[in-house]
Formats: sequence, C-alpha cells, structure tokens
Amino acid sequence: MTPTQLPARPADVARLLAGPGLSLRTGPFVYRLRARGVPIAEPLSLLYAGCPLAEADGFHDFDVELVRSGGVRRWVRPQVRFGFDGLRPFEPLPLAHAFPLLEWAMNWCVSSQVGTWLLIHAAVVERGGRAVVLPAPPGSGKSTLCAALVHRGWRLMSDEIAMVALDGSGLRALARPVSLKNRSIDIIRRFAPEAVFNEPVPNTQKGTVAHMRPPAGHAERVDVPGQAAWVVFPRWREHAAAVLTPRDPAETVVDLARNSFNCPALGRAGFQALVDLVRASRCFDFEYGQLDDAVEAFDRLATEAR
Amino acid sequence: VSLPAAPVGAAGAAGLERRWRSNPLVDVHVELLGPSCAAHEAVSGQIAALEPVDAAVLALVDSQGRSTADIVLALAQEAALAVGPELESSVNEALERLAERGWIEGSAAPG
Repeated sequence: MTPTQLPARPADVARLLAGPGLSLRTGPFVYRLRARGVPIAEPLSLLYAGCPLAEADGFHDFDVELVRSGGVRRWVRPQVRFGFDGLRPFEPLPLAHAFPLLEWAMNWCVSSQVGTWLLIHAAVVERGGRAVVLPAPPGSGKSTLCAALVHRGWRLMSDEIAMVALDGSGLRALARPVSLKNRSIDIIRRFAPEAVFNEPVPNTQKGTVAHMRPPAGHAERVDVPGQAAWVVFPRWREHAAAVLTPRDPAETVVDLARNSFNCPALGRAGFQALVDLVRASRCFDFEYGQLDDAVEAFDRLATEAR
Repeated sequence: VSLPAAPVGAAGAAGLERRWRSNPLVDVHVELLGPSCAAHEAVSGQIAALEPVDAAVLALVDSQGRSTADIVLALAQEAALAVGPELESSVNEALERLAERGWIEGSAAPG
C-alpha cells in the first residue's frame, strides 16, 4: 500500500525511489521520482517532511528519474543524469550535486511544460490572503528575502515560480524548499536559527547551494490560494536602507513579461493575466541591505488598508 | 489624454500630409494602467509600455490610411484638445514611435 505522506525515514524513501517511485505531490503537480544509488533520500525526507504522496498508479504530471552514469564513471568521479519522460535533456553533473539537480529539474518540469498557468520567475509570499510577488533575476536577493519573510509571519507560496491563474482566481502555491546560495545560507541561519537546511553542496554551477525546508504548516496549506496585492522587485545592496519606490504599472507588466517563462506561449491570455495581476497590485522597486529592515517594510505593507 | 512636451512645430506642414495606416500583419491590444498603457502585439508576442498619446493615436490609425493632419484633428475632437503646433508635434512623435515598432506604416515623407 502507498503511504499517504513522505516517510520520515530516509531508508523508506530510498526504497520507494528505487522501486515503484515516489509519487510526490507539490501544489497542483504530482511527480513520480525514481532514483537508484543516488544520494537524495536523506534531503528529500528532511526537506519534504509531511509532504503528501499521491497514488502510485494514479496520474503523474512529471516522470522524473535520476540515473547514475555508466561506464568507468560508475567508479571514478561518478555522475548523475536527469531523465524526464524518457528524455535526458541536460548534461550529467557530479553525483554529489544530485539533490540540487533534482530541485532544478523539478523547477524545469514546471517552467518548461506547464501551460495552464502564467508562470513568472518570482518568489511569492502571502499574509492574510494577500500575496506579494517578488520577481527578480538571480543575485538580487529574492530567495534570501523570501526565506526571511517566511520566518516572520509570511506564508511561503513559492521560492522560484509564481503561478498565476488565467481565470483570475489568484496565485497558486508550490511551497517547495527555498534554494539559498553562498553567503545567503549563513545569513538565514543567523536570521532564523529554527530554519531547517540540508547539508550545503559546494562547487555547483551556482556555488554552494543549500535548501531550506518550508516552515512548519506552510506545505500543509499549499492548496490555499493567494490574491495578488503587491508586486515588488527586490534588490539587495550592502548597507542600503530599506526603501520601497513606486513603479509604473505598464513598465511592471513589461518587466514581469521579461521574467515570465511562458507568457509568449500563452498569447493574449498571458498578457491579460499580467495586466490583471498588476491592476490588483501596488507595484514597487525595493532596495534593502538588512533583512530586519526589509521585514519591517513588508510588515508595514501588510498592515495597509485593503 | 495628457500630452508629453514636444518642440513646437516639429511636424511641419509637409509632415501633416504624410499618410499612415495600420499594419495588417499585426494585432495590437492596449490596456490602460494608471498613468500609462501596456500593449500586446499578438503575432510577435511583443509586450510594451506606451504613452497614452501613443495608444490614442494607434486607435485613430485605420487600415484605409489617414493623414497626420486628420489624426491630429480627430484626436483634438475626441479628447477636447486645441489644435496647434504642440499637438501636431506630439502626434507626429507618437506616429514615428508606432511606426518604429512596426505597428503602423507611413507613406514616404513628402519632399
């Protein structure tokens, strides 16, 4: 019988991964994850603790496999490949990078395959039903800010992909682990000592990478949607004061489109979803240097009258 | 419609005779968002921010073709603006920007 939740013991997770597969449900998607001899069971059981599992013989949106490379690479400098629906779209990575590869691959599955939502490269956090969309290029401090906010009263909806409903029904959550890099890992460890991380993986394409588990109760509320109330483009700058600067709504539509994974493919429906998102939101650029100041600025936003 | 400042008389009399028509190969949809507009061109997927005057001028250019002078008059009538060199310049600049995007086409400039 399939367990209904991710087993707490890594050995049980490894057995499912090596056997029929782990039918992991995150938000609206079900992944079938398979892996044999690839070290992902421990971080999976740690970071996805309590995550619901779907029926093994039910519908799966994405069939994902992590496979160890063959030949001499089985023994010398072992590697791991990502397989998706029988395809192997990327070059192999060192075996030690297996868990970051899995997380990137799971994001890739959504960003490259899903056409039923408008997808924006952005973090999303929510409070009192109102959501902040935080679009930003890598290096802007988006994930660090997101990780800080979700330990100060905001709910994690997504760290990487904002899912905007095309019918105006709001934002859908994914509530997967937050990816942090390099200095951000220790910054969040100091900021939120209760945060749970897997063992950092050094020397990846993005430097040292660690993933942070969604705070308790966030993954359980993954099916609760949020209504967009703010679009905030964050930018971290050392010693900068936390300042929210209003931005032009039409320019915001253009910039969100640039950060979107699938807006061109969605045509006018995608454009209309962007326009509706911006109409429902107050739009800002946000520069910050200290997380405490940033959280205070967001708390002020949250107390604004509706 | 609030018009951006423009150099007086930039269009010139010859510019007022120039004819413009919408590009039949594009499909532009404009949404007003507070002080500015966002536009989507369906064929290319291009999304752009527009000045409101550009959006208004785009709405006045049809597939049959109109002269700059016609467009200035139509805009003045519909938006209750005074016809003059400032409006002519603003319209001319908007037409040039729209033509640069490929959303409208102009006849060869006279002279």
